[in-house]
Formats: sequence, structure tokens, C-alpha cells
Amino acid sequence: LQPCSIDEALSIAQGNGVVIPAYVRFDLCEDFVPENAHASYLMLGPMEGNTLIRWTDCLNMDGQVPVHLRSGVLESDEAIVAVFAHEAHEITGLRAAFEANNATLVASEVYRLISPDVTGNLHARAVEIADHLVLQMRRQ
Amino acid sequence: MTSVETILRHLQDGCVTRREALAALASLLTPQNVGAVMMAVPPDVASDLERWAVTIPAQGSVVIGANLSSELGQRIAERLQVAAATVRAWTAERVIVPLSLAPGFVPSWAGPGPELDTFCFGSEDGRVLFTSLEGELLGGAESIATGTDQPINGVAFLGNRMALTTHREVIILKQADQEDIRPRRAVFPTEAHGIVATRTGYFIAPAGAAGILLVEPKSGPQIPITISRPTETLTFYKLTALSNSSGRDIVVSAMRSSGIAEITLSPGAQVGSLSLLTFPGADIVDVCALDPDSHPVAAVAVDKNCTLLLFRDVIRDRRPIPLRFDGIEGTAYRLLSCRGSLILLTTARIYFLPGLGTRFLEGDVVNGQPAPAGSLILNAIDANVVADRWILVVMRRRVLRIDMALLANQPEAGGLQKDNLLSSPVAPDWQEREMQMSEVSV
Repeated sequence: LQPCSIDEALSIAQGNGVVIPAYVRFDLCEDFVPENAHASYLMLGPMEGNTLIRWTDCLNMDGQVPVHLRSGVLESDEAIVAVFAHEAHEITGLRAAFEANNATLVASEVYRLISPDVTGNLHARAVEIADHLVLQMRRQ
Repeated sequence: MTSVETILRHLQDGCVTRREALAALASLLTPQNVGAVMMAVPPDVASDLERWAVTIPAQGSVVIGANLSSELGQRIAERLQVAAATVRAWTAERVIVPLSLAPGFVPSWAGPGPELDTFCFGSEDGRVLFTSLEGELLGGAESIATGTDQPINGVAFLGNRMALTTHREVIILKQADQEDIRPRRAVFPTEAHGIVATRTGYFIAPAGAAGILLVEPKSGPQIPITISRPTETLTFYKLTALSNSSGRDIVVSAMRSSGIAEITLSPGAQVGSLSLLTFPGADIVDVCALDPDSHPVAAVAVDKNCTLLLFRDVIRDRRPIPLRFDGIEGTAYRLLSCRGSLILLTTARIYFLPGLGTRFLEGDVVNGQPAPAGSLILNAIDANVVADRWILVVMRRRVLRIDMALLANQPEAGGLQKDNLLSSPVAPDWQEREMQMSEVSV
């Protein structure tokens, strides 16, 4: 399968109801994606739980949150919708949490919000939303 | 595996955040390649990696990363913890580095060279050497013959002029240039305790009881030299040159029992009067600027008994803040300011007082507050700051290079004994005097 470009992927995602904020960007950057994952962002590594993370620590030099993708994502419209929807939802929720706390959160709170091993968090909700959009896409 | 170049390109392209790039770079590090990687990345990235390394907990951490499982996160954490320890060990090795000079070169002075990225060394037998910041000899092992056999105690540069001082003379050396094809050398016989270059282009040396010596290094065969001294005999022991908001040179001098002198030079380096601030029992042995760029008239002096005297404005402050820390050993003889920290040399130790200058200039109350400090037992002869980063400490047969940027990131590095110094109240009975200065052209 021929992977599409990032711009094409954005069009596909947005055409299927994914809302992508201007402060989020997607790039093909496989080296920064963990094993067994399709995408990632905020790969900060180990920190003391009480370390303060500023919203600006989540941003690149252009003030955007860079999301890293595996090339395989760009080979399927469903994968594009699922991954873009998931990450966009999670980052939107994360930004709201930062905004509610003077743009600063402790590392343990960021972990609690986005870890796949924590139930009922932003990540879990992002999975549901992505699944919903893919199902909707199939119905169409 | 990704490479340093790829990570830096991703950072440049905005595909990753700075913190992500640091973690990715760190994951490439091994004890074998850490030096090469740290040298390969831009200096600001290397500094960030050093700072990053001290923030990584040895254990019991959370691992931040979207879509990162606990199991994989744990593996990443273990790898980065090893990398952080590697960076910390590498940094610690570089905080204090002995510099090897030419065989037979016994250093008596070390400080800034003619270029920002060079060091200059003076020897016990009157020679001068230059090295790179890494201590590589420049111009081979050849030292410059200065025409003296006395220990060099000060060197300063202005353009192609080099000024040297010993306890017996002030020497001005000029390289050959387009206007004058002959190298020139001027010698003025006087005791001198060092020399500085002012922003307006003069050399100024404290010449003990003789006064202060001003040299205007003009082009041409004549080098105007002026000695200025007050109406009564005072000892100009050490000095620093500041520059006020209108660009005039301000000389602040440690005057031993006469206290601290401030002299504002008028255009053309005319010395009018001297403003003296002292107290009974004073023995002021050194003075330095605190932050010449953002606080151009702030300075700090030190008494032989290790009391610091802090001025936010040496012209207006008639009651500088006195700070005498309990537990400082030895007799003070040198005081330096670097990156907001103060460095005090005593006959027993070298003391680092991190951030003390910054806290004072930012308006914090420093008197009566505990001050973090680090110290080393060093048999130092002299020390100087280079480029607001390096401290060159002259020992009996070698010179130590201390990297204050690394020390700030990793205060426990370098084997420093950490302490929290408490200050005792001191209330000097300040006395002020004004004196006219008279000039003698030489």
C-alpha cells in the first residue's frame, strides 16, 4: 500500500469528523513511537512524580504539540481517522488540564491523564472516541 | 537506531520538542561515546543535557510518554537512568580540570587571553603563554619573552597591545601593525598588583603607594602613561574597572586599611577626585564587579577577615551591605564574581557562594540568611574569571580550570564540601572622605 502524505491524512481525518486544533501537528517520525504503538507525543521519559511540567514543555519551537506517527498509519483511512482522532482528543483534554492549572501540571498528573495503564482517563476516552468515529466511517 | 544528526534535524524541523530531543539524545549515550556525543551537539544542547541528567531520578519515577505501556516505560526509564548517570559522571570529570602547560613553565598568573576563546598564563620567570579553552598550547610551546624575569601578576589586552605587571614594573607590548612595523615595548618601573583594561580603552594598574597608573595605548611610537595619586599616601592594592550609564570609566579600588576607593574618570581618563569609604580596622584586599552587563555599577569588596561588602551602586551607596559568614576558614586574598556566584580565595580554601551576587542584585535580603556554599581545600596563589564561565586557579605548579556552568548544574561535582553558611551581624562604623588626585605624566 502506498502511504498518503500528512496533508492528505489530515484531509481524510477532518473529512471524517476529527477536530484537529491548530496547536497540534503530525509528522512521520517513527523513531519516537514506542513499540506496539501507532503514534506518540510528549515522550519525556522518567521524572520524579512531583516534577513540574509546563505546557510549553509539550510544544515544539513553533508552539505546537508534535505527534509522531508510524508510516503504517498513513496506509489506511481507518487507521488515519482512529489515530488522528485519538491523539487530537487526548491533547485537547491535556491542554484543558494545563489551562486549568496555570499551564503547569506535576508529572504524576500528566501520567495519570495519558497513560494507557490508567482506566477512565483521557487516553481511555480517546480510544472510545476513535472507535466511534471509525464505526461511523464504516457505516457511511 | 536513530543518530544524533537525525534527532537534531527533527528538533530543528519542529517534529519533536526540545525535551523529547534531549531524552532521545540521552538514549544514544554510553560511557564510551558520551564525550563524542556531547562535543557533537551544539553547546546549548549539551548544557541542556547536563541539566536534564541531574533531573532524572535514580528510581521510583513516572515515565511520561503518550501510548507508552508501563512495561515499555520501565525499560525506557532504566536506559535513561543509566544515560543520566553517564552524563553526570562525564560532567563531574570536567568541572575541575588541571591544565598542562609547557614544561618548565611555573605559573604565577592565569586569566583571559586576547581572544574570547583563549586563556593567558604568566610565569614565575616573566614569560607568557596562550592556550585554547581546552588547554591546548597556541603557537606551539613557545612562550612570549616579555623582557622581565619577575613573576607576572597581571595581564590585560587592548587590540594588539598587551599589558603585563609584576611587583617591579608595568610593561606594554605592542605587536607590529600596518602603522608601525616594529614590535614595541614600554616599561614603567613601579610596583603593580595587576592590570585591567577599561571599556573606553585604557589600561589601569594599582601601583600601591605610587597611585594608579593609566596607560592610553595609542598608535605611534609614544605611549602616554600617567600616574595619579591622592594628596596623601594611600595604597592602591587591587582594582576593577566599571562603566556607568554615560559610558564613563569608574575605577573601584581595594585600599587595604584605607577602605574602598571610587574614582570616576572624566573623558580622556582625567582623574579628578577620589571618594573613600572606610571603617576602623578595615583591611580591604580585593574588589570585583558583580554583574557588569545588567548592573554596571554594582561591585563587591572583601576584607582580609573575609567580610564581604556588597554595593548595588558604588557611586551612591555609602553604606554597602556587610556580610561576614561564620565558618569561613583562612584569610581572604581574592574575590571573584562569575555567573551570579561569588568565589572567595582564602589561605585555607576556595569558597563558592552560588547565586549570592544574583540574590543581592535582585533585592533579596542576604544578610542574616543562610547561604549555600561549596568549598575545596586548595593551595591557590591567584585566580581569575574568563568569559563569565571559567575560573582559572593558579596553584604552585599547575593551573586548575573550573567550569562554573557545569558546577551550577551539578553542585555536588568536583568534590566540593557542601555547607550552609550563616552570617553574623556586622555594623562597620563607616567613614567617608573625598580627596583630590594629582596627575604626573611619565
